[in-house]
Amino acid sequence: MTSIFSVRLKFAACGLALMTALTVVSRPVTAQAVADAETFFASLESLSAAQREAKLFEGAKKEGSVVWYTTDGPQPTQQILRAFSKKYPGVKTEFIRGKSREIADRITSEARANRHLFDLAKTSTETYDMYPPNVFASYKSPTKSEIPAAMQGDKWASVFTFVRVMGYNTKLVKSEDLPKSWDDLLDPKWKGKILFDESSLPEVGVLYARWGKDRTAAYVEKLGASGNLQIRTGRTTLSQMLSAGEAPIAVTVYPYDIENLRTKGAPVDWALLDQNPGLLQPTSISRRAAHPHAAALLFDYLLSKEGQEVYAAMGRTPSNPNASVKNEREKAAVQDPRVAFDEMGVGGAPLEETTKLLDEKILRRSFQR
Amino acid sequence: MSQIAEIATGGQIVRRAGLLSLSRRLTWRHGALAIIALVVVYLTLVPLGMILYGTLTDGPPGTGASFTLQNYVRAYGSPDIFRAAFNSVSFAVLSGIISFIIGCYLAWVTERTNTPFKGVIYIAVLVPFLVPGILTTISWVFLLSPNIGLINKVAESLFGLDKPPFNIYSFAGMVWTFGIDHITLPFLLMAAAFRSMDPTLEEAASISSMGPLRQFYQINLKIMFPSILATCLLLFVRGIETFEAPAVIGIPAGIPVFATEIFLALRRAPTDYNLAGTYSTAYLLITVIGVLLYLRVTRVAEKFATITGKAYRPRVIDLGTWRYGVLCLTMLVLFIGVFLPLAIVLWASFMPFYAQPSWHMLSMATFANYVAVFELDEFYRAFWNNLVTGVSAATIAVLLSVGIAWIVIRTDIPGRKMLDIIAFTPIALPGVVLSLALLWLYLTVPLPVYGTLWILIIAFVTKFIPISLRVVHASMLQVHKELEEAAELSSSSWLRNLFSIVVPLILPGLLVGWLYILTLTFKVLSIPILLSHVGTEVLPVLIFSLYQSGGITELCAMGVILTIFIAVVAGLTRLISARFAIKAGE
Amino acid sequence: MISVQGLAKTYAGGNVRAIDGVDFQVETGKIFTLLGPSGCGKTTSLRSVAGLEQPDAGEINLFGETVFSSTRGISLHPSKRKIGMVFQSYAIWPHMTVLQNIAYPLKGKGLSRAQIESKAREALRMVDLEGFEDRPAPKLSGGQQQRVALARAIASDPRIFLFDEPLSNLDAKLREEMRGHIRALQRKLGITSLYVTHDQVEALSISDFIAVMEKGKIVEVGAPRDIYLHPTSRFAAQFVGLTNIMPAKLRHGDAGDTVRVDLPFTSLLCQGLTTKAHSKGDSLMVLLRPENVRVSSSSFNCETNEWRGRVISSIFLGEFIDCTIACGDFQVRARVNPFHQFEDGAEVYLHIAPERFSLLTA
Ligand SMILES: Nc1ncnc2c1ncn2[C@@H]1O[C@H](COP(=O)(O)OP(=O)(O)O)[C@@H](O)[C@H]1O
Ligand SMILES: [Mg+2]
Repeated sequence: MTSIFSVRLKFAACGLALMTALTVVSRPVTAQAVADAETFFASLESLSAAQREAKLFEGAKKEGSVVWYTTDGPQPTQQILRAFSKKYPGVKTEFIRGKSREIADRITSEARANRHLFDLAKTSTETYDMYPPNVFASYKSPTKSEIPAAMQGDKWASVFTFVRVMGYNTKLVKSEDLPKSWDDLLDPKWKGKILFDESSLPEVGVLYARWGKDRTAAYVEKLGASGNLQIRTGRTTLSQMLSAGEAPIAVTVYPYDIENLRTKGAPVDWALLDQNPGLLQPTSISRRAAHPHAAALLFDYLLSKEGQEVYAAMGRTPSNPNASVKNEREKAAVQDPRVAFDEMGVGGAPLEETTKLLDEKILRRSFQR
Repeated sequence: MSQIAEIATGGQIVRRAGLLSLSRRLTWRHGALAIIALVVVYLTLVPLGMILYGTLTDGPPGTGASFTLQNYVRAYGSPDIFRAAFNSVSFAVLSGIISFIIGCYLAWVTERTNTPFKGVIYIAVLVPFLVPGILTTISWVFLLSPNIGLINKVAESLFGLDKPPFNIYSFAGMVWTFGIDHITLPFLLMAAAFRSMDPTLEEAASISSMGPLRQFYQINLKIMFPSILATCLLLFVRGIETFEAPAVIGIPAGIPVFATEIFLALRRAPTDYNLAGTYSTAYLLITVIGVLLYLRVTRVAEKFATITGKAYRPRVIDLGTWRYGVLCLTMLVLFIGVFLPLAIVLWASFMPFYAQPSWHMLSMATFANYVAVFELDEFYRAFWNNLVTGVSAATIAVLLSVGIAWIVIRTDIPGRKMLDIIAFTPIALPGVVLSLALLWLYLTVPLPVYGTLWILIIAFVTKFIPISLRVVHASMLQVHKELEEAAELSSSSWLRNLFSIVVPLILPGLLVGWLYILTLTFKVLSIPILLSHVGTEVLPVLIFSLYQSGGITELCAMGVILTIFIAVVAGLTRLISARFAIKAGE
Repeated sequence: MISVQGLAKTYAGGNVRAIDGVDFQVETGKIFTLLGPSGCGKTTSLRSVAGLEQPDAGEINLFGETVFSSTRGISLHPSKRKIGMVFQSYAIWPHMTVLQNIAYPLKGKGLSRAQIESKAREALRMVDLEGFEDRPAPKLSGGQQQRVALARAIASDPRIFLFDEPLSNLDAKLREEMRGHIRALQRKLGITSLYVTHDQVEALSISDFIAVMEKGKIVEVGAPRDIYLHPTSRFAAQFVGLTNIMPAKLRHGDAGDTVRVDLPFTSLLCQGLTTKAHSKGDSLMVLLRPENVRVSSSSFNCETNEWRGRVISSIFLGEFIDCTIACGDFQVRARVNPFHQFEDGAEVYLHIAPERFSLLTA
C-alpha cells in the first residue's frame, strides 16, 4: 500500500538532493582581471627586494588566492605549493594540471574568449611559441635575475631543467657494453632491444641542431630501418617497462624517473649518449592576471633559493645556481657538453622538419612491418 | 472537379480538428516532452554543429576563419588512414565478439540459472571496470609480454618451452586485452534483458517440442534482439574509439588503428580543432549507420514486448548437477579475465616499482603507494567532485533517456526517429573534440557554466546519453503499452504514471545505464582534462597525471581503492535492483 | 449512455482503415458487444471510446457529455471519462501487490488512505479475491489476474466499463465461469458496458445488444436472439453460428406473413418472418440453421417443407451429430440428435418448420 507513495517520495528526495548538491558545487570562476599586469610589475622595480616582497605578500593576502596552470605532476605541485603556503599563509593556492598541449589549448581558448582565469602558467619549450603573443607578461625581479640568462627570457624563466638520457636495466646489460653514441644504437645486436618513445621530438631536434639536416635525415632513416627500436607511448611506462625487464635499453628517459626507481631498489641506471636533449621548464605570469601580487609572489618564490631547494629535494635540477642540489649526477649532466638545451626555439631545429622525420622514418616505418 | 474540391476541404476540416484537439490536450506531458526533446537537441546539436562547421573552415570558430576542404584532404587524403580504419573495424568487431560472448554468458549465469555464488560473480564482473583502462592494459602486458610476461614465464618453465607461447604485441593481443576488459557493458545490458524476460514464452516453446537450440533462437534471441543489438552497437563504437590498447600494445606491435592516426595527427599543440573534427566525421558516419540499422531492426520489436502484465514470472533454470560444471567454467573465465589482471594491479600496488612476483620482491612490499594516494589533497576533492558530477550526469542522462525513449516508442510524433538519431550521435564525437567545442561554447556564451562542475555534467550527459538511451530504449520496448494505458485511465498525470508504472518496470535497465555512466565518469579522461578547472578536478585527471609523472605503482594503489569503492556501489545497486525487481517465482 | 457517431480512424498514413464510420448507442445499464473477426476494428473502436486512441473523425458522447468530437476539437483525457477497462493482456502491474494494483487508480482523487484501502478491499470482495491483498501480482493464476483486472476496473466507480476480449487468455472452463461472473457483476452494479470479443458464444451469452462488425464497419445491431435467429445480413448470419445459405426465388408477391420460396431442389413455405415487402420473382437467400433442420430416415409426412437428400458424411460430436447432406447440387449441414444413426450414402428426409428459417434479400 505504501510502496507507491514511497517510490515517489524517493524520486522527489533524490531530485532535491541532486539539485542542492549542484547549486553548492556550481561556483563559477568569476575573476576580475586587471587591465595590464605589466604596468604593475614595472611599478615594482624601484622597490628593494624586502620592500617588494612585503608589498607583494600584503597584496596577495588581499587577493586571497593564486591560480596556477601547470604541466607538472600532482605530487611535486602539491609539495612546492605547500611550502609556499607555509611561508606565505593566507594566500590560497589553486592549480590545474594537464599535458603541455592541454594547457596550451586552454590558455589560447580562454584568451580568445577574453576570460583571464590563470595567474601563472608552467608551459613547455615545445609549445611556448604557440601561445598568442600577448598572454604572458614581461617580468623582472631580483629573484629572477639570479637565474642564468640561458634559462630565462623577457616573459619566462625556467623553474628547473630536465635532461633526457639513455636508461638501462642493470640486470640485462653491463655498463661497459652500453652504447656510447647514437651511432652505436644502430648495432644489430640491439635488434628489438631499445625502447623508444614516439614523442621523442627533442631528441631528433638535438641531432638536427648539432649534425645538420642531411646527416640527421640519413641517420634517422637508418635507425628506423634497423629494427632495433620498440616504439612506445608514454615515457613513464618506458621507465617502468625498463625496470621490469621488458628491454635492456630505453632511449630516452628522465634521469629523475630512473633515480627514483633506483633508490627504491629497481635494477636500472642511466647514462649519457653523445647527444642528449635538455628541456627547460618555462613559467610565465599572465598579462591579465587577476591576482598580480600573488602571481608575482609565487613566481619569485618558485625561482628563489628556498623554492628551488624544495624542487631539488624532489630530485629536480634547480635553475637557481644558489640552490643546493641533491641530485649531483643530473646537475653534472646539465652542464655536460653532450647535453644541448633547446633555448626556447632560438637555436632549435625547425619543428616541421623534425616532426616529419620522426613520424615518417621511425613511426610509419614501424607500421610497415 | 467538384468532387476533388470536396475531398480537399474535408481533409482540411479533419486536419484542423486534429490540431485543435491536440491543443486541447496540451498538458504537462507535452510540456515535459518538449523540454526533454529541446534539451537533448540543444546538448547534442550545438556542439555537433560547431564541429561540422569547423571541419569546413581553417580556424577555430569566431576567429574569422575561411571556408576550405583542406581538412578533409588532410584527414582522408592518405591511404594510411584507410588501412588504419580497416584495422579499427576488425579490432572492434573481434574484441566486441569476445566481450559479448563472455559478458552474455556471465549475465545468463547470474540471471537465469541457479549456479551458486551468483552475487560473487556479479561483483567480480563489475569490479575490474573501475580500474583505469591504462592499468588493465599494462597488467596484460605484464602477463603476456614475450620478455616479462608472467604467464609466459610460468608456461615456459612448466612445459619446458624454449619460446614464450604468447605475444601480447600482436593483433590478437590487442583484441584480447580490449575484449576482456569490456565484458562489463554486455554483462550489465544483457543481465537487465535476461531479468525482464518472460519465461512462459520459453516454456511455451519447450512444450511445442522445439529443439533447445531452435528454442533459444526462436524465443530468447528474438526477444532480446533490441538489447543484443544495442550492446553490440555500443561495444563496436567503444572499440573503434578506444586508445589504450592501441597505444600500449598496438604501437609497439606496429598496428595502427584509426584512433592511433588521430592521435598522431593531433599530438602537436595547440590542438588542430578543425582537423580533429574532420576525423570524427568518420565516427559519425559509422554510428549513424549503426543507429539506423538498430532502429530498422527494432521496429518490429513491439511484438516481443514481454512485460505484459499477464502471467509474468521471471524464473531461473535449474541446472541440476550441471551447475557445478557451469560454476567451474565461470570461475575459470573470471580467473583468467578478471582475477589475473587485477592480481597484477594488486601486487604492483604494494611494490616500490613493478617487478615480476617473487619471494624476493614480496619482502619489499610496502604501503607507501597507498600512503602517497591518501596524502594527496587532490584525491579527496577529485573523488568528491567525481561523485557529484558522476551521479548528477548519470541521473540526468537516464531521466532524459526515459523521456526520449518514451517519445520514440510510445508516440507517433513526426521526427521522433530523428530525435533518436540526434541523441545518439554524440557517441561518435571523440572526447577531445567534444570538450573543445564545449569549452569554446561556454567561454563565449554568458552562462555561468565554465569553471563549474556544470560544464562537466553537460559534457558527460552529452557524451553518455547515447549509452543510457540505448539501454532504456531496449528496456522500454519490453514493457507492453497496455500497462501504461491502464494507468492513464485513472490518472491524467503523465509523470505520475511514468514514475509509478514504467520506471519501476524498467528499473533494472535504468540502474544499469546509471551505474555504467557513473563508472565511466571515473574513467574517461578526454573530457575533464580540458573542462575541469581549479576546484573542479575529477579523478581521471589525477589518474592520468600520476601515470604521466611516473607513479604506476601509486596508480595501482588508487585502482585498488576505486575497485573497493565500486564493489560497494555495485553491491548496493544490486540490492536496490533486487528490491525493486518483480519478485521472482520459484 | 454511450453514443458513438461516424467514428473513423486510419493507420499507417491513411493506408489502413481500422474503422470507417462506426455508429452505435449503448443504453444506460446495458451491456453492448462489438463482435467480429480479428482485425475488423473492435479494439480500435473501444480504445477510441476510452480515449486511448485519437480517431480521425466522429463524435463520442458519454451520458450526454461530449468526450470526443473531431469537428468541435474536443478530446477529453482518458482519466476524465470515468471509465473502467479490462485489457486483453489484463495489464496488471507486475511490480505491485494485488491491493496496490487496485488502489493505484484511486489515488490522487482526494480520498484518504483509509478510504482508498476500504474501497480497494470492497472491490476485491466483489471478485471473490479476499485474502489475496498482499500477493505479488505475478504470483496469481490467469483467472485470478483476470479478476484483479476486473476489481481494478470496478474500484474507482466508473460510469462505463470497457472490456477488450477479457476472456481470450483463459481456458474453456474458466472462460465460462468468468463470463457468468462478469455478467452478474455488471447486472448488479448496473454499469453501462461495452464489450469486445470475436467469440460469438461469449457475445450471445453476455450481451444485451450485439453489433456485428466487418472491415471497420458495423453491419448489424440487435439483441442476441434477433442476431442469431433473424440476422439481416449475410455476414452476420455466417459469422454468428453456422448457417446454410441457399439462393431462392419468391413465388408469390407480398402475401401477408406467409410466403412460398423456390429453392433449386424444393420449395419452402415461410411463416411470419418476412419484414420487408418483396415482389414476385425476387431473388432471396434462405438461411437454415443446422439445428433447425430435422433429418430422418423415414418421411415426416408433412405436406410442406419436406424434401429428400443423401447423407455425405456424419460426424458424431456427443451433443449432436454433424451431418452433411447432398440435396441436388447443394449441401445442407444439419445437427441431429445423437441417438440417430445414418450410414454414409443413405437416403434421408429433411424437414424444417415454416417459422424456423429466415430470408435475406440477395
Ligand atoms: N497501431 C496500429 N498501426 C497500424 N495499424 C493498426 C494499428 N492498430 C490497429 N491497426 C490495424 O487496424 C485494424 C483494426 O485493428 P483492431 O481494432 O485492433 O482490430 P480487432 O480488435 O478487431 O482485432 C487492423 O487491420 C489492424 O492491423
Ligand atoms: Mg482486438
